[in-house]
Amino acid sequence: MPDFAVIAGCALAGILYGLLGSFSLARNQALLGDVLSHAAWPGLVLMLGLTGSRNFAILGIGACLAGMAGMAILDLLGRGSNRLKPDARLALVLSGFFAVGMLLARPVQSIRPGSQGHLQAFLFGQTAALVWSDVMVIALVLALSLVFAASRWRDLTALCFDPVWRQTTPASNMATSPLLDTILVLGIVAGLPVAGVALVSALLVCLPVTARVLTKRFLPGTGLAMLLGGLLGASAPWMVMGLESLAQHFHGDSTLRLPTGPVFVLAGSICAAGALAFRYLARSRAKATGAINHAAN
Amino acid sequence: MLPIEWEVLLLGCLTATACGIVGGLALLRKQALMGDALGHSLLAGIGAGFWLLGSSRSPWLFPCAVASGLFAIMLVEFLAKQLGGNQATALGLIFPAFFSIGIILISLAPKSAHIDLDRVVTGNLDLAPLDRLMVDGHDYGPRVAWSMALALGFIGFYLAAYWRHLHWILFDPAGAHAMGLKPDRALSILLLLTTCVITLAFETMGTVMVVSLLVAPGATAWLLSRNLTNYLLFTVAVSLGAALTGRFATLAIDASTTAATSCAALALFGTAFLLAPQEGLLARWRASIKIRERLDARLILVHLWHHEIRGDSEIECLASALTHHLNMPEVRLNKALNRLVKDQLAEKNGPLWQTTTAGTLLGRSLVEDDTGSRED
Amino acid sequence: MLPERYPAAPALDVEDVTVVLGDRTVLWDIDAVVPRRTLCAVVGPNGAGKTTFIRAVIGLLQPISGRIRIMGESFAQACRHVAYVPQRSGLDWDFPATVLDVATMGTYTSLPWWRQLGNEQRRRAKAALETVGLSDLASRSIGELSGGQQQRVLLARALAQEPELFLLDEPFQGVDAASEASILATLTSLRDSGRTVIVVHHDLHTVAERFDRAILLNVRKIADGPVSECMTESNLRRTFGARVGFDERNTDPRSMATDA
Repeated sequence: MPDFAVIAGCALAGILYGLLGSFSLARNQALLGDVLSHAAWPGLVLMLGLTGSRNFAILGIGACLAGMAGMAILDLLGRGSNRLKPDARLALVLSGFFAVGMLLARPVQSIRPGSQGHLQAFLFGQTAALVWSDVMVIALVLALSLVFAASRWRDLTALCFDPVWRQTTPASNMATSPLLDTILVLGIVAGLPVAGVALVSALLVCLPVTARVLTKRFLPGTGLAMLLGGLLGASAPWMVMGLESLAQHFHGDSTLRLPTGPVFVLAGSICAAGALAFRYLARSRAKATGAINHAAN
Repeated sequence: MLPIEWEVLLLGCLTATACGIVGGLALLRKQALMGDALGHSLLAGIGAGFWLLGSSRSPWLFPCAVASGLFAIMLVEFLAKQLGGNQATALGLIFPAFFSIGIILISLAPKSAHIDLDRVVTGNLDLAPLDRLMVDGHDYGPRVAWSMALALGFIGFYLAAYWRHLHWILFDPAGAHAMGLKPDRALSILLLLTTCVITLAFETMGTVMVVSLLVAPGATAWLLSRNLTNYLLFTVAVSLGAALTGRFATLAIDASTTAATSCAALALFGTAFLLAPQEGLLARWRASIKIRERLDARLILVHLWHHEIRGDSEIECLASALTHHLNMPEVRLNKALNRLVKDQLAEKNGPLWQTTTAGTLLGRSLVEDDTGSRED
Repeated sequence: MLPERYPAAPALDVEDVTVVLGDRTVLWDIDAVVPRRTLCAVVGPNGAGKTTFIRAVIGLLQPISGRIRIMGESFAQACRHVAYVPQRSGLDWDFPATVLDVATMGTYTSLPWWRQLGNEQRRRAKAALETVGLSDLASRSIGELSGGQQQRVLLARALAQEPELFLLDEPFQGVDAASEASILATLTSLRDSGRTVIVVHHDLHTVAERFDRAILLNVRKIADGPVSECMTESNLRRTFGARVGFDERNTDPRSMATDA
C-alpha cells in the first residue's frame, strides 16, 4: 500500500497538469513546458547549494526564479536575429539551462555532501520521498491556479482562441497573459517532485490531448483533462508498485526502485494514444461509409 | 598511448564536431528539436535491448537504439499529420512516451546488468574513455572515439557526395525532386546519420546536453555566415572551440566535462548572439536607431511633399503645427528637421517648412520606390 | 452607448500616419477620413499595407508618426465601441469551442470579470447568430464549419459586441458566394442602422456596386472618398499599377482588377 501522501500528491499534481496543459495546448505552446521544466533545474541546484535545505518549498523558489529567467531569455532570443527560428530558440534555452544546472551540480555536491540523491529525485520524480509539506506546496499552487482560472475564465478562453482579437477589446488591459505564464512556471515547479524535470512537460501535453479528442468544448475539455490527471495520478503509485513486484517476480531482485514520473507519463500517453486511435478509426470508418454511400448513389 | 585527459579531450572534439555538423544541417531544415526527440526516444530501444540481450555492453544495443529513434521520428511525422500539422504537439506526445518506456525498462532490469539511470540524462565524458577497444588483448583506445571517428568519416563522405546538390536538398526539397535529385533518399540518409551520431554521443553527453552541441554551433554559425560553406566551417570551428574550452575549464574548476562543453557551446552562441557584426543584438539595435533617425527625416520630407502637391501646406506644414500633425515629440522632430536642413532637402520659409528641389525629388522617389517594389 | 463626447467627429480619422515594420516603411504618411454611417472599403494590391492599416487603427501596431482618432477618441478610449474581425486563416479552428461559444465571446467584454454570463449575454449571442444565419449550427463544433461559415461566426462575435465601428480584415477571402452575399447584406443593414463598417477588400467589383466609400491604398494613400469620386480610372491605375490589365474598350471600373 503506497503512502497516502504519495497518492494525494500525485493526484493533485495530475489535476494541476490537466488544467495548465489545457491552456498551453490551446495556445500552441506544447513544448514551452518542456523548456520551462529544464530551465528550473539550475535554480534547484543553486538553491540547494546556497541554503543546504531539503525543503521543497525553499528549493522551489529558486526553481521558479530560474524558470522565469528561462522565459525571459526565450523572449530576448526572440528579439534578436530573424535567423534564429522558434524551434532553435526553444532547444537552446532548454539545453542551456540544464547544462548550467549540471555544471553547478558537482561543486554543489562537494559543499553539500549527501545532496546527490536528493537532486536525482528531481530528475525523474521520486515520489517515495514525497512528504506532506511537498503535497501542501502542490495543493497551494493548484488552489491558486483554480482561483485564477475560475475568475478569469472568459478572458482565458479569448486569450487561447484569438489573442489578436482579444488585444482589440477592453480586456487587453488585464494582465491575464503574464499571469498565466507565471502560473505555468509555478505549476511546473510544483510538479517536479512527482514527474521530474525530464517528464513534467509530457503530462502537460498528453492529458489535454486526450481530453480534446473526447470533447468539443473548452470548459468540459479542461475538466476532463483535470479528472483524467487526478485519476492517473492517484493510480500511478499503485502502478509503480505493481510493476516493481512484477519485475521482482521475474528476476528476484528486490532492491530496484522505479521512479513515478515515467509510469505516470506512460499511462497518460497510452490514454492519448487510445483516444487518437479511436478518432482515427472513427474517421476512417466515416470516410469508408461515405465512400460507400457515394458509390451507392 | 595518450594519457586519459587527452583522450577525454579528443573524444570531446570528435563528439562535438559530429554533433555540430549533423545538428547544423538539421537546423537549416528547421528541425532543431528533432535532436532532442531522438535523444530521448532512443532510450526505449536501449531499455528493450537491455532486457532482450541481458547485458548493457552488447554491441547490439546500438542498432536497437537507432531503430527506436527512427521509429519515434516516423511516429511523430504520422501523428503530426493526424493533428493537422501540429508538429510541436506530436513531438510532445511521442518522445516522452518513448523516454518513459526506456526509463521503466532500465529501472526494472536486474541490478547485475546495471546502467546508471542518471548517466542517461547527464552523460559522462570523463568516464567514457574507460570503455576500451580491445582487439587480441591490444588496447586501441576508447571505443566510443573509434565509433565517433567512423561516424565522422561517414558524414564527410556524405557531404562530399552530396556537396553540389546540398543547397537544393536542404533549401527546397520539392525543387530538388523536380530536378531529379532524389532528395528523399538524401534526407533519409542524413536522418540515419543523425540518429547514429546522437546514439553514439548519448553515452558521453546524455539526452539533454547533446541538444546544445547539436544546436548551438549551427545557430552561432548562422549568425556569422552568409553561405553554406562558411556555415559548415563556422559550425566545425564553434564545435571544436566548445570542446576545447569545456575541457580546459574543467581543469580549473571541478565540474562535469559534459556540462562544461555544453555550456561553452552556449557561451559561444551567446557571444555571437550579442556581438555578431550584422546579426548580433547590439549591431541590430544600433542599426535600428540609425534607421529610425533617417526614417524620421524622410517621413517629414514625405509629409511636406505630400501636402505641397495637395496644396494644403499652409495648414499642414506650419512649423508650429508639425509636431501636432505628426504626433511626434519636439526633440525627435527638431533633430530630424536639422538633418533635412543639413542635407539641403528642406528649408524654413517664413512660418512654413518647404522642400527644396532635391527634397521634392527624393520625397517622390521614396514613396514611389516603395510602391514600385511591391508591384513585382 | 455612443461615445457622444465628440458627436460630430468622424468614425475614423487617420492623420499623417507612417508605419514601419522592421526597416521597411509599409505605410507612408496616410491621411484618411471615414464619416459615420458609411460602408467603406480599403482597397489595394497585395502588400499595399491594407492589413497593416487596419492593425494600426486597432492599436496592434504603433505608427511612428501621426495620429488615429476613432469617433474623436484614441483607440484605447474607444475600443468598447469597436469590433475587429480578423482574417479567418490566422486562427486555430481545432480549438474546442462551439459556434455559440465563439459568438458569446463577443459579449465577454461588456461584463466585468467577476460577473457571470446572464440571459442578456446569451440573448445577444443568439441574436447575432440569427443575423448571420447560423442559428441551426449553434451547437456545432467550430472545426466542422466551412470557410464561409467560419467567417460568419467571426462576424457574429463582432455583432454580439454591439459596437459602433466594425473593422473587417479580408472577410471574403476563401468564402463561398452564398456566404459572401449574406455577409455583404449584413454589413449593408448595419450601415443602414447607423453603424460604420470598414472592410479590407480586394474585389473591385463589389466595391463599386455595394460600398459607399473607398480608401485606395498602395503604401501611400492614392485616394479616398465616395466610391463614385475616387474609383476613377487613373486612381485605380495608380493603385494597382501595371498589374491592372486595363482594357481601353471598357472603361467601367468594375471590370478591372478583380484579381488584383
